[in-house]
This record gives sequence, C-alpha cells and structure tokens, in this order.
Amino acid sequence: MWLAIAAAQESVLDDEAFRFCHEYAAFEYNDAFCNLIQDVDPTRCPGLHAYCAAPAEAPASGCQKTRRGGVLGSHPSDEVPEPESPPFNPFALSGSAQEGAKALLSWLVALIVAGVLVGVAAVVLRFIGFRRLGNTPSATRALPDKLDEQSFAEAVDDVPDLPSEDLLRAARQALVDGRLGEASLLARGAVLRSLGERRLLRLHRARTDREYLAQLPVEDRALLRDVLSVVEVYRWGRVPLHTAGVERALKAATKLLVLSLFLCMSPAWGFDRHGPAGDVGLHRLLKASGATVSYRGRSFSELDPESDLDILIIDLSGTDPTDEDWIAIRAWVEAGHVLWVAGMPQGFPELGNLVPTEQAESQVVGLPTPHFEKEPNGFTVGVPVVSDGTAHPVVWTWVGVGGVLAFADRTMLWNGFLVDPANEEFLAGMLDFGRDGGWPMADPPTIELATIAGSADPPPPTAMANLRLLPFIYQVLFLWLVMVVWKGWPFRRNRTPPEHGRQRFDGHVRAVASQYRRVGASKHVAASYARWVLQKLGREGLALQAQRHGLSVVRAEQLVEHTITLAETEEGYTLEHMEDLWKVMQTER
Amino acid sequence: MTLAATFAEVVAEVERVVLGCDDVIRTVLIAMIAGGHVLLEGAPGLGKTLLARAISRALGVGFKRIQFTPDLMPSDVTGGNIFDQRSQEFVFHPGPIFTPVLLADEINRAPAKTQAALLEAMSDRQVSVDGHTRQLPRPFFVMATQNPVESEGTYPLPEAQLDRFLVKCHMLHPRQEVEVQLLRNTVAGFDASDLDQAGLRTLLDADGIQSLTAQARAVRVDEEILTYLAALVGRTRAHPAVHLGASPRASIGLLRCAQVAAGAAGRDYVIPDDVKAMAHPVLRHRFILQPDAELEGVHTDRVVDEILDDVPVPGGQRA
Repeated sequence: MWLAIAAAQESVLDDEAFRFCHEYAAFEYNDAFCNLIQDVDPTRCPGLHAYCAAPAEAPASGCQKTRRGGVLGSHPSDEVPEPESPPFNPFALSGSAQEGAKALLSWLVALIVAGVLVGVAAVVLRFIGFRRLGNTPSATRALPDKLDEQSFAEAVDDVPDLPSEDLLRAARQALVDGRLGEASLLARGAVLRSLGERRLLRLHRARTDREYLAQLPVEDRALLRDVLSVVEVYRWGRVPLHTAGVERALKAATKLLVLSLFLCMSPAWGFDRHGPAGDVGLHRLLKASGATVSYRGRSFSELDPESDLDILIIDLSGTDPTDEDWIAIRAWVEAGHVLWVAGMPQGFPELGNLVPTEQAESQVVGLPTPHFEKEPNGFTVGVPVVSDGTAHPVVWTWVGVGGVLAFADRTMLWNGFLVDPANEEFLAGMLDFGRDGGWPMADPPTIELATIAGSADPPPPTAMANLRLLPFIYQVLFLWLVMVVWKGWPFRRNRTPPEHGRQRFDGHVRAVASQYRRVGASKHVAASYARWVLQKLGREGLALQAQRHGLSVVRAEQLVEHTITLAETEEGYTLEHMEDLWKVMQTER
Repeated sequence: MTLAATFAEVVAEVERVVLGCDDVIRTVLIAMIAGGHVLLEGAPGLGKTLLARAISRALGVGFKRIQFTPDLMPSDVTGGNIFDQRSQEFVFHPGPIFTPVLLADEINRAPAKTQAALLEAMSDRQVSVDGHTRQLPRPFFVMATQNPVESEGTYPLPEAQLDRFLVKCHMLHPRQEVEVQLLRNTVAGFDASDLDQAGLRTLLDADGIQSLTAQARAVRVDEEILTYLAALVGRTRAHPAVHLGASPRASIGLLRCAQVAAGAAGRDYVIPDDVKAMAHPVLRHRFILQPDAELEGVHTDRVVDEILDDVPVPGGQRA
C-alpha cells in the first residue's frame, strides 16, 4: 500500500494545497512560470496549464505585495494563438448556472466584505480612543493602582491575559492616572501580544526586547523601538518617565496594533506559502530527499560556526540580510558549512557579478538540466553547475572549508519552478551531489530555510480560500432557498407588528377616513369594512370580540347593530363607531 | 571622559591596525576595563601580539611578552633573587610579569609548574618570591594565547588556571577583503613592529583606565538581572552535557563584563542583552563537559547557546 501511495505522490506539487497548480485562477506570479509549463505533461498542474492557455483576470493584491526582485516573465497570452480547451471548472456548472452562482456569490462576498469593513472600523475606532476613557476596561480594574517595588516584577511578568486592545486601553488609563511606568509596560505587553498572536514575532521566554526588535524587518522597527525603548529605560534604569515620552510610546503602540491588523507591514508577512512564489515545495522536496528541514527563526548574526546546521538556504527575494549578517554568514560558511543562495549575495567576491546573457541553451553536467522561464543572468566567477558558455546561472564556489551554491534566478527556489519535473529532479539532485561528496555535509543533512514565507502564515483571504468553503456555501444557499420556498420570507409566520407600527397604521386609517369623508366616499368604504367584519366574525363573533376588547354588553350590542345597519344600508356611519370597530378588530388579530 | 566615548575611541584606534576582528577587540577591552584577564585562542599569525601591543599602546600602559616554552621556569616569569657580589647580598630582579599588559604567548606550552606561577599574579595581582610578596603594577592584565590545532607537546591549562581568565576569545582567519586591505596596508608601508609609524595614538593612561573601571562599576544592575545572571550560571551546573559547572567567580565575571558592556553602549544600567552578549566569552571555558558529550563533538558554545535559549529572561513575554 505504501508503494502505491508513493507512486501516486510522485511530485511535491501533487498536493492540492498548491492551488495554483490544480485550480484555474489568477494567482500572483502565475505568469512567471507559463513558459515552463508548456513542455510539461498536461496532467501535471492542470490549473496552471488552463491559466496559461487562457489567463484569468488578476485578483486584487490586498496584503500580498510583490516580492522584491525576482525574475518574472512577460505575459504569455501573446505566444498562445488560441485557447485549446475550456478552462478548468471545478464545479462543472452550465453557463447560466454559473452566471447565477456568480451573482449569488458576488452578493455574498459583498455582504462579507461589508461586515468585515464594519468590524475593522469598529476595532479601529476603539483603538484610536473614540470611546470615552470613563468606560473603564476590565484590565484596569485587574491591575494594581500603583506599582511599588514588591509588585514590580509580578506586574511585569504577569501581563494580564487580555486582548491587546484592552491592554492598550488600560495603558491609556494608566497614563491618564499618571502611572507612567505601568502605562509603558502595558503598552509593551499589548504590542508584543498582538504581534505574537499574528505570528509577526516569535515570542519566547528567553528572548529579550531587543531580540524581538531584531526579528522585524528593518523598515518596520521604528514603531516597536519607540515602545520598547521607553520600557527599557524605566524597567532597567528605573529612570522616571516623562509624560511626553510615554504618550509617544502609546501612539506608536496604537499605530503598530492597527498596522498589524492588516498584516501589511511587510511583503514577507502574509505571503502565500503554497502559491507560485511560496517555498513549501522546496521544503517538502528537501524533506522527501531525506534532509531534516526547518525554517530559520533566528537572525543570521546568531549563526554558530560550531553548529550542526549543514546547509542554509537564503532566498534574497524575501529576506534582506544586513552587512553584519553577511559577515556572520561568511564566517559560518568558512567554518565548513554550505550556503545556497538565490540572488546576488554580498560578501562573496568569489562569485563575481551578475551579468546579462542572451537566450541560450544551458548545459549541466551530471544532473538534469533545469528549465528556466527565460534565461537568467549569470555569475562571472565560480565553478559553473549550469552554464550557457558565457554566464553561469548556477555556480558553486569554495569559501574557506565550506562553500556557496548560488542561483542567479531567484525563482529556482519557488514552488512554481517545480512545475517542470526536470527542475524538481535538478534540485533534489543537488542535494544528492552534496551527499556524494560534492561539499561537506552530514547524511542526513540538517537544512534551514530563510525564505520569504518561512515565518509567515497566509493572509486571512488566502487562508479562507484554502479552506475550500465554496461547496459548503452552495449547500447553505440551497438550503436557504428551500426554506424560503417552504416557509416564506423570512421563515416565519406574520406576527403582530410593533407598537409604533400599529400607531402609524392607525393614524393612516384615520387620515384616509377623514379624506374619504370629505369627498363623500367614506360611507361606501365604511360599509365595505363593516361587511368584511361581519363576514369574518359573524354577528355573535363580533359581539363576543367586542366584549373581549372591554366594551360592555350593551355597547357591544350597539356596535353590532350599527355595523349591520352600515353594512346593509351604507347609512349611520360615525367616526366613533368606526374607531371602536377598528380597535376590536385589532384585538382579534 | 565618559566610558562610552572613550571605549568607542579606543576601539576605533585599535581597529586601524588590527583589521577585521572588532568583536575580539571589544571583548578584550571589556575584560580589561572589568579588571580581568583574557585567553585568546587562535592559530599563529592572526595578530594576537599586534592586538596586545596596539591595545596597550592605545591605553597608554606598558607591554611585555613571554614566549612560553617547555623549558620555561617560574622564575623566568616572576623574576628571582640573584646574589650581587658587589653588595654581597641577594637582590631581587623582577621578571617580565612586572608590566601592566603581559602577553603570555602559547601559555599551554609551558609545564604546569610554570603556568602556576601566574596563578597568584592573576588572582591577587602580586608575586611571592622567597617569602617576599611584591605588588604588581596597577592595572595588570594578562593576555594569554594558545593554539587550538597543535596539541602535541602541550600542557592543557588546569581548571583553576582557566577560571582566572575572565574571558576566552576565538580569533578566526580574516575574511578575504580584510586580508586584501591588510596587504594594501603592507604595500603602503605598514610595519606591525613599528606602531609609531602607523600613527597609533595613546588615548588613556593607568589612571584613566581606573576611572573607566570605576564608571563601569557604577552602572546600575537590577535585582532581576542578578537573578537572571545567577540562573544562567547555575544552569551550567545542571546541564546534562556538563560534568562540572561554572563557579561563582564566573557569575561575578559575567556581572562585571555586562556592566562594562552596558557602559560602553552609553547606558548607565544593565539590560539582559548585555548579559547574553557576554555569556559566551565568559562562560565557554569555565565548565567541563561530560566525556560522552565531548566524544559526540559537543562544544561548550553550543551548551551556552542552549542555556541562553532555556533560561527565561526577566520579564520575558510568555508565548
């Protein structure tokens, strides 16, 4: 059975989680791999085949910013003369049914989007303090009024287990009350909790605030630094804080929380790991090749030359090591480790420069030839692993006791690159090459990935899309329609309208009656109403209902007589009787 | 003369002649200001002597070097009483140890008896010869070197000796661009034996160093930092790969180094990052690994890494 499963799961992209490969949809960076897919068996990645044959409209990018750099191809539609087959349709509906479903879905999506926008707006309003501070949050009540020496440590270590926004409100309250130190600590707790919950930071008991700061991209550190620096001064220096400084920290914390809600602070955050530009394919490929693979969570400067890590894989389209990082990386490589790097790394002059090259057929010795979307730039120096004679898209170079395997084309480490079986075989072959003595490496090797999606979860829209809820939504809509047909709108019997509705209707009737009376038509209308009442209740029924309404027996009998007279002769109409009759009928309902 | 400004100036000055090892320079300076001794481990030719001379010159204190060999005697280090025929009495001739900065080159090549001659000098800053105790100059720093590769004919330093070194630094081969710059300097006429020609300035003197030390000791250390520091050192005694953990002297050393590191960064208070930054150089030589861990190739730096990853920092956000 295991053999059968293994045979069925030939490629890492066979998993339907790689939706760009199996579904017809306009995923970001789909176009970059259309030339690759042309020579590939149509049963492999049918979704990408269908897309490249008839490209769909690109979706709104949302949080998914474009990668930095990378080699992207031109749109392939010009090169495909005519679409061969209808696009892949997962639900196989007819044209009209599709149109109907689309309309229905568009309404549903519009409702969801409106709901989300209202929710986000409400949260934002709460964050920026439109609520009155007098509305004391629970966090404030739970905290000590003053932070004395004894409670200092406890208050810091036991940041109340409350939502970030509550902590921030408590911080504002503390600021208003003049408890500046506590305000700064609560702001820190709110920010760290928020970033941690959104997995923008990896919280760990042994991490310091400065290490958290280092986890963020350089361009996004300023806000968090504003918060943490105040805490540091207060916490470790016991320096009295100034209101202005704490206010600035709270403002930074507020901004940070709002920004983190949208997961848009960096392209690396919220990137689709299973998309064409994701890195799950590489992770699984290396794992299937026998390596112990993990994502690198710590900074490059912490690379230990003595560590057991054999290979570090860096995709420069997603990570941006600093100069200090490159120094640490080089020292680590020189100590006898191997770096795979996609892009032009700093600090490795052994690789020469990236130079442009004309279209040419690449050659590779001893390994399957990788196929590129277009011929990438190449390095000028280094032992060519792949070469077209003038430039070397993939080179190997020794650095100290270790070495660097450099890929000029950054897409070679992306999921989309694996749509061609030869490419998959090439990357796996590189690992085998090292295993056979090509470079220093333990067997099984330990590998860490430092790629764009290494520490990121997909953004909420993508995560929802990955849940494949559409069939479920169809079922719910169908059930809803059945209920509408069976029970009517809105699934329940009519009930007594609310009081204000009744009053409005009463006023309306009186106005109409007065108008009819003025024009002489009220007699006929009143007679018709009297006939309708008698037909519905009968003489006895009307008398009984009038008594139930509170009229005396005599008055009820008078009302009945009057109604009968009015119905038969259209004479004797009075507004008082009509009002009584109206009220009695209201009671009957 | 603030600690931060002076520290940065000295580092910049030394970096002019010792290229590509700013981390080592900083660590050595921190240890010196903290009043400790330094053990440098590195292959020959990496600039250890140059580093010692450049630092001693920048600090404005004297410098002497002893090449430790198997036949080196304790009196060759400390000095001894020699009979003066003219005065008909024994006269003490001080050894090379009577210097503010002493470079003990390849210290592990001397036998244990000679190494032990340094013990009293390093811990108490005094030398006892023939029943007379003589004070060493203040400040007094020992920079010892050892070669990690050639172990034949060497005498590994005993634990008592190792524990007296405040920090242990690894000197690595320079990167290529650094080496190219070094060659450029050589072509331009730089001579490592002539620091005058290189224009290396003297920025301090012995009193200045004492002043920096005093400033560093005034850096505030929170009670929680002390607890954290003690927990770090204490964890070395409970780690499964460790046979003998670090001593309380390690705790004190780590504290002093963290204070200097904080002062050098311009702060008058210590933060957990200072402790973490100094943990490797202070702790890596102060505990003995289990034999099986050594056989498995476990390195003390890895143990320190694990300890740093395990011990909660004060106020660490619980995940």
